[in-house]
Amino acid sequence: MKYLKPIAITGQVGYSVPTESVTEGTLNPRSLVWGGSIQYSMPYLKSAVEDKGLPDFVNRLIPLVEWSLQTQTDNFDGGARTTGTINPGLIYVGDKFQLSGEAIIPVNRDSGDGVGGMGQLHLYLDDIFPNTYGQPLFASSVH
Amino acid sequence: MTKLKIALAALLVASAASTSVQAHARLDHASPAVGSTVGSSPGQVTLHFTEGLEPKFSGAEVHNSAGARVDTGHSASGNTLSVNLKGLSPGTYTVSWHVLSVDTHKTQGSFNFRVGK
Repeated sequence: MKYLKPIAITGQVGYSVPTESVTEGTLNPRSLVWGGSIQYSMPYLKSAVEDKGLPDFVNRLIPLVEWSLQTQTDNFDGGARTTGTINPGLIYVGDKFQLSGEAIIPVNRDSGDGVGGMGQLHLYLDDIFPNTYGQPLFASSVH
Repeated sequence: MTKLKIALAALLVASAASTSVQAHARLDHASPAVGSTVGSSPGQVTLHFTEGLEPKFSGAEVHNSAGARVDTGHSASGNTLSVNLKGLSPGTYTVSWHVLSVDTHKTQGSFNFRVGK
């Protein structure tokens, strides 16, 4: 049971309201925009549950599945009510950067054809430049 | 005419992709190791972090399964936080830590270790 602790579930919901209901003869639907993710944090497993002595590379991985969907609620455009993608992928958490890659899988034909991909690189500027960007604005130290 | 949409929802979705950005001091390893069992009472718990710590704003406590505190204080230097212990009897103990890294980010966490078989 303790090995379930590194599982995290996230979610978000929003509402998309077009400023124009019709553009050049095409309806612009109002939509509920919703999504979420389920992920398993190997860094959390090592630091808070059990240090299994796994290779450092493995201890920095976060496998995850994200989903990003929108469901039309009004002024329907004639396509599928719900469109979006499911994105399985992997995050690598480094000391000064984070690298991630995800597949982009449409949930139906109205969401797209074929499988795509997405990569992201986040740089921790305050760790890369600890003596400049990473310092407080009005003090050289918190001592 | 330019298409304009209220993009609050789209912004939420865009920000959801690969959300686990971290730039804070993480617990790299500890002694006794996280979730481990040791045969006898250790003299102290040592926590090693991925970044340097601000000693005045970093600390840790160790409690037994009844919630009683079993440490006698802590000290921090570099990226290491040490907690001195009283003699521990067999049982499960919880280490609760909080640190401020030198780049001013706060993190906290806890883990268990066990004394005895």
